[in-house]
Amino acid sequence: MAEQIDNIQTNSGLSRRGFIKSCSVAAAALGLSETMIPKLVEAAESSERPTVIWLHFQECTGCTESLLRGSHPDIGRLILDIISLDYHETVMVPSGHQAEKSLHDSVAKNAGKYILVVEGAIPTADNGNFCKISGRTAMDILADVGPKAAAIIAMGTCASFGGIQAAAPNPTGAKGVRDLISDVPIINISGCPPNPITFLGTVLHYLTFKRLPNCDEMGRPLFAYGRRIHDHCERRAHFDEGRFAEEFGDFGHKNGYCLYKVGCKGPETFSNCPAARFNDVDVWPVSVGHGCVGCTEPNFWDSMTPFYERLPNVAIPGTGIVADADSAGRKILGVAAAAVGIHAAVGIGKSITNKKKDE
Amino acid sequence: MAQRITIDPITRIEGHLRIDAEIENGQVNKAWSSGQMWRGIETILKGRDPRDAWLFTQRICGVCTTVHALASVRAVENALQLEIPINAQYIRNIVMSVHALQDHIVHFYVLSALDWVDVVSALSADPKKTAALANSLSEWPNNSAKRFTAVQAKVKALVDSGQLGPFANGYWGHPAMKLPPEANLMAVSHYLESLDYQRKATKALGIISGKNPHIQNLSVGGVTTALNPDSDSALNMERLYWIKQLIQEVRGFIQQVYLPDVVAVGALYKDWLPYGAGVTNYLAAPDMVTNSAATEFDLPGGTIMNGDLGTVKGITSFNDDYFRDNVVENIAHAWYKGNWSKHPYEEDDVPNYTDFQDDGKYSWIKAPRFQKQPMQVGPLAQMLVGYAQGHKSIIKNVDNALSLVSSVAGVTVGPEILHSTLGRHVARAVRASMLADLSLKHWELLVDNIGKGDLEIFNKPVFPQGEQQGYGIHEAPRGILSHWIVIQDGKIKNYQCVVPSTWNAGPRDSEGVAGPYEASLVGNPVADAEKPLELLRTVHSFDPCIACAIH
Amino acid sequence: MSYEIKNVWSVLLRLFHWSLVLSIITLVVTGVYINTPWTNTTLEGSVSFPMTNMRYLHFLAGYLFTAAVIVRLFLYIFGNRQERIWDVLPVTPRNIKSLITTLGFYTYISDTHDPRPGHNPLAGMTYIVTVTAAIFQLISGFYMLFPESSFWQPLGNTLFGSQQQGRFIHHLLMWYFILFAFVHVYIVIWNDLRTPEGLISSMFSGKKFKQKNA
Ligand code: HEM
Ligand code: HEM
Ligand code: NFV
Ligand code: SF4
Ligand code: SF4
Ligand code: F3S
Ligand SMILES: [Mg+2]
Repeated sequence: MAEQIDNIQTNSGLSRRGFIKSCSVAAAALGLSETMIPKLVEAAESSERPTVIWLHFQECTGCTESLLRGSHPDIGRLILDIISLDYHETVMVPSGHQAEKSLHDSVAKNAGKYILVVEGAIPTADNGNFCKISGRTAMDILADVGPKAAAIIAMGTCASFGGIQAAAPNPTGAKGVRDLISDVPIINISGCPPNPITFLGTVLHYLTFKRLPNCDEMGRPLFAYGRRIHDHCERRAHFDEGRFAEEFGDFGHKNGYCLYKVGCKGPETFSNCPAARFNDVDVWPVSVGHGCVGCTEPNFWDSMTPFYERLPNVAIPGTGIVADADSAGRKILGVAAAAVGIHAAVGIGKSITNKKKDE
Repeated sequence: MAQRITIDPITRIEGHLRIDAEIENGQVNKAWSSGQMWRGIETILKGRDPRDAWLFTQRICGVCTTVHALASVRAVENALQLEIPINAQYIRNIVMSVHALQDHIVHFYVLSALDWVDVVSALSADPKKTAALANSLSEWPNNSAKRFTAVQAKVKALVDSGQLGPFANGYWGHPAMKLPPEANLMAVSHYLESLDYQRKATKALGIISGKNPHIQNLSVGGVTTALNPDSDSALNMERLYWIKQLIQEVRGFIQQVYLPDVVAVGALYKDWLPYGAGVTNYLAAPDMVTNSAATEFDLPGGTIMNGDLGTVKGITSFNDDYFRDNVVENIAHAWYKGNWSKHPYEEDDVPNYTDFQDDGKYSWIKAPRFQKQPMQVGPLAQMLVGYAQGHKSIIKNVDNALSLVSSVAGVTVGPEILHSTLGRHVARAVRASMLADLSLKHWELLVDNIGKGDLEIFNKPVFPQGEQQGYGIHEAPRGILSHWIVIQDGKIKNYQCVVPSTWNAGPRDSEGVAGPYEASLVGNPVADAEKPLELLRTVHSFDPCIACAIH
Repeated sequence: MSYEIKNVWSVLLRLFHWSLVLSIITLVVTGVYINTPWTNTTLEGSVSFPMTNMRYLHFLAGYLFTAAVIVRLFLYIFGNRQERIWDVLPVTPRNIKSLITTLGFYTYISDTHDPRPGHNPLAGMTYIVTVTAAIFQLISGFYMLFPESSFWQPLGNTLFGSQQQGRFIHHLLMWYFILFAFVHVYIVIWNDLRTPEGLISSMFSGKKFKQKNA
């Protein structure tokens, strides 16, 4: 029977050859040597599949959708052969009480052993009432299911840092997992959504070495967030040599010049996008002429906006005036110049009257 | 005595939905639809740069990624009265249609097929008979006994492992499951295959949009996908043909697997055809724009009231007053302060959670109304609106599907069966099939235009001082989507999204009139109130997206 | 009137001052270029690297700037009497009195000024603020220059949150330096005209004049 499966040359998660190939790609993504592949395959195909519980809170399901796009391993292979995805609201068959049963059974059976994936932020304002599942708030569910996990993967910028709902004025008090849980290893796979390669690479790393990969300051794995986009971008030569697109559709834009002047945030963003690329078709945002918006960075909804400008705006307190940094600077300098002018004029006036007095 | 049940969470949908129902004599007599999560994205948008709005609103939903992006740029362009180059329209059309192909495939197989298909029963199927069944429906080359045998082995291995994962606690062996084992095995095999084909669609979308979910090639004023046949850093012929090839493969799957499967399920469950109509007022947006001014379309929009195709009235441009002036949202039963009906330009919502009150506020979803009426939106609305307006290709495609259902079911059925749970599935599959053809058509239009030397993709937006209002409409996979923006001195003053799932999943309004989910559940049979599979069927048929509905 | 000539500024301090002036002018010009590269070209295959060169100049000037800041910090502790931090902090009765006199003098309320060999406390405080701003400027600069470094990354993340916020602060601080230089040069000239100490030349020669009978 196994052989028959090996012989089928479709991609629907059935071919073993295809899978070993996938593992080599994953190994490459993780920077592992070829000799690790058998270990990866073994880890990935061991008889008892490790349990994964996936919780959805304040999210858009884009992170889950990104997993549907993953190809090594593809989603079919992932959930049938590699992991046991015991709870995941978007794909699981049972609803309501039956779904709750799946969660409780799995937590009870695998306590201390399962990987918890969290997608979405956790609202903390108004007692967490902004997100409820089966009558419990996201805060309660995380406090219950989180500490019993062996490790937590915060999938996406929402779960990592709060994401879009945490953008000013953060009406729901949304927070990332790390703000609420501390005694379990947590890894942040940021991105909106992240590249599935990064998620899958992390899972395979964990299954192979039984520990999470090394991370940067923000808890993101170095194999995917170790470098800035700008330092690996194919348009970097244009940047260095002073060739920029000034506007979408202009000569420079049509010829692949650097997108710095139309707001690209590649210089400020850590991510493997230009190296790993998306959807198995060698693309990433910059390759289709749009600047990076910095979606892997904390607070990017506030710090990287306006997206089509280089720098954030400055709100001048009390005036309601929102200006870009330079026009704010020029305004303040103008006020200073006026003050200096008045000061000098008063001085000249005084010295004239003093002279008159002296006479 | 009526029995009250609560299903929370509803799974195999996007987002956090709770359904409550009162069951009496084996059927539902009252239902509540409640959205359980609010983020406040409309509030967050206030004060920001209107050019950024599309990147924010796209994060309303990652399942129907692209759609809020499109509606948002259209809203800002409408406020500025800014036309975009025709190439940008074609590129947006390809984005729209290719995404819809993926979305519809995933909806049928991953999100709803297992309401009708019993995976465990597939174990007792005969692979040869399965192949015979599949070959009677289509010529899909993968429908071989060899493949079905392998899939069956795969299912067996899964069951034997004792680790059923997402399939644990499913509704296997439920009395409402009626398909023969062979149909079940065929469907499970196609479930697995659908995962590959949905991915192919995302690849085509990726080539044009940089990544997905959450594309990054739009901008107010056009698109950023540079066109240049002489550059390696732009959409050139190599990339365009790659897109075409992928769309053609996906079209094959849709027309030879997805559509026939839906027809088969519809026909084999023909006793289900009377259930699930609910609200039979329909609303759809025109889309697949064919000119810069956005006044001509390949897919029609309009309204139908009370299920009467004779009442059809068209929505014929992106600047149509009939649509603009007749939409309000009501919050009588939604968790916001007050009790009002307001036009989107006027709305100002303040969250106000009160817990679930049967007769008071019980959902984060607002209740949108058109001329004070609840409306059902989605592929079914678009197909019916087109059918009623005499849209040639809709009539041809719908009639084809109906005659296929008739021949498999052995009874003649007409368009009236479409007002139902299964009708929504049939309409969606027909729409997917039409969009597969249309995306290739718009690919041709784009390539022809490039051939003429036109490489324009962008008209720069300029924001005048003062106030402007605008709205953008889009026919998303789940139905008509509208974004409403008020701009003051180049900054967002108000932003409101009225979303397909808001129309369908909304609660009662101040008149006590139920929304489409709630209405469609009434009369549904329930064999086992502990395992309310039948309710899931009807709810899933709308393709719920609660992140969309609330945002 | 006769004057006594006093040595007030060491060579090191003057070196610091003019290195700072030179580096800041260079950093502002190249910094603005980095923000808005105005020499956009469509020439390909040419051997000109305007952005690279501007960034290179910026970093060179950045090192000079950093060296100057370190020198000043050293002098705050080990410099001569006028150069030490205690000479300007308005914490001693002498300095508090001087601060009040200076405020009255600058606002034309009174004509008495406090002739001191070093800075008046108001100026001194402004310079402390400036040196503090300079420290943040150079940290944000090095944070952007060495984003992966295990020293600068945690430091920058703690102080600024992210690269983009670091860059934003860096850019806003540029405006502080422009503002400071503008007001500073005005006040220096104003003082030079109103007082007899020879303020401007002191930054070149290190010497100030003191009225003997005053
Ligand atoms: C008064 C002192 C300084 C001023 C006025 C200044 C100004 C600027 C400005 C305006 C920018 C452009 C940021 C933007 O708007 O995008 C910049 C970038 C930068 N500065 Fe400075 N800077 C100063 C000191 C320094 C120092 C001490 C360093 C340390 C070496 C430094 C390193 C950098 C770096 C690495 C960048 C980013 C360059 C790039 O990413 O291409 N700066 N600076
Ligand atoms: C970018 C331009 C400049 C900067 C950043 C700057 C900075 C400074 C600083 C930090 C000090 C305090 C020295 C200390 O720490 O003890 C200072 C003192 C001084 N600077 Fe400048 N300076 C600038 C330009 C000039 C120019 C153009 C002149 C001459 C016209 C000048 C004349 C002086 C004088 C006379 C003092 C001593 C003031 C006193 O004793 O109160 N500076 N400057
Ligand atoms: N409802 C909805 Fe969407 C769609 N299609 C939005 O406009 O799903 Ni996420
Ligand atoms: S990180 Fe982005 S894609 Fe993921 S859930 Fe949040 S908004 Fe959606
Ligand atoms: S396009 Fe963006 S990431 Fe690439 S070189 Fe230019 S600024 Fe850097
Ligand atoms: S926007 Fe996000 S996907 Fe990559 S290129 Fe920028 S980090
Ligand atoms: Mg809304």
